[in-house]
Amino acid sequence: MQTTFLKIVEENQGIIYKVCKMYRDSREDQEDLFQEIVFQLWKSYPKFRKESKVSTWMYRIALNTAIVTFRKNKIELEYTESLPNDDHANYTDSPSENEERMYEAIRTLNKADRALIALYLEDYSHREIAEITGITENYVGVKISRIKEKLKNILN
Amino acid sequence: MDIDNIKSNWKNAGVGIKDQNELLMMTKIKNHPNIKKLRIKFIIETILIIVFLAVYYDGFDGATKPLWANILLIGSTLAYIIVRILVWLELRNPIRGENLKNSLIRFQSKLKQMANMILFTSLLFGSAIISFFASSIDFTVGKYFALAGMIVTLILLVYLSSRIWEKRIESIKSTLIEFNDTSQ
Repeated sequence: MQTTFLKIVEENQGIIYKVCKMYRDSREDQEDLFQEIVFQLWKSYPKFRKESKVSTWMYRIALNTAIVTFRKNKIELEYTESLPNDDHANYTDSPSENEERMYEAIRTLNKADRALIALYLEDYSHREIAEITGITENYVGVKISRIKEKLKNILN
Repeated sequence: MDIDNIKSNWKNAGVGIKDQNELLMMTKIKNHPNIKKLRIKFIIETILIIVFLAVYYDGFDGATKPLWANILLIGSTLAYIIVRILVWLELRNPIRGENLKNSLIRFQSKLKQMANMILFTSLLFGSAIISFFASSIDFTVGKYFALAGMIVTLILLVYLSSRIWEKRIESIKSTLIEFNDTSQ
């Protein structure tokens, strides 16, 4: 069971990476959340009945963990004259400028909106988003339109 | 950047490079950043309390105190430890529903229960310690002031603890409101 689990998470770790980037701004917080999500995935794996897609299950657990996990108390913002050394990078190559802008924009949304937009950007249907979040299908549509408008205003 | 650009960026983002060994380490509780700290704090607290229970009778003249003060102290200490074990086990399981909204509703309700239990047992434990030491004292004005100081400190500590729990519960509540807004 463990081997299969690790293979699934390794192949789909991009989902965890994206959720961490959406819900945490510092590298250290993102790493902590990554670890927390993998731990929660492992705990819930025996209950995963494979009726839904692996990615759907992973998004549900990852988003839920990101929303309920409490951040350590610390100074949130650190301004520097130059870009900091990337000594903690362990996810991937440095994200592009556009990618960083996208995450910064998404992080300005509230926690519920971040979950909805992530699922939308991942091409889930409104019905699937409604099933994952627990809100009605009609209002998924309404809400997604509003979030898209918000993002457009932030980015332009 | 329009929504199509965002979608395209989203698709290209998130190519993780953690290998299976790193992921395996993350499934172990001993490597878990937050739970590990909570566990260490909990173990230290429990050991200190057990040591206190083991030595208090001889060390603090339990035999000279009233029976009710001894019973209250032992009972409240056990309640304090048991509640913390339960809370520790509950906090390890924040995912409690088939969808995000249900999970948040259940976790919020669980957090409220845990907060109440923690605050009640902290108050009980603090009161039991004060009662134990005050039960055989001949009070003077100065000692009454000292007793009042201890009571105020206890209330203040419980209040500060309640603020921390309140903040956690509020955080879940506000996300639930954000989800609810979408259904109106």
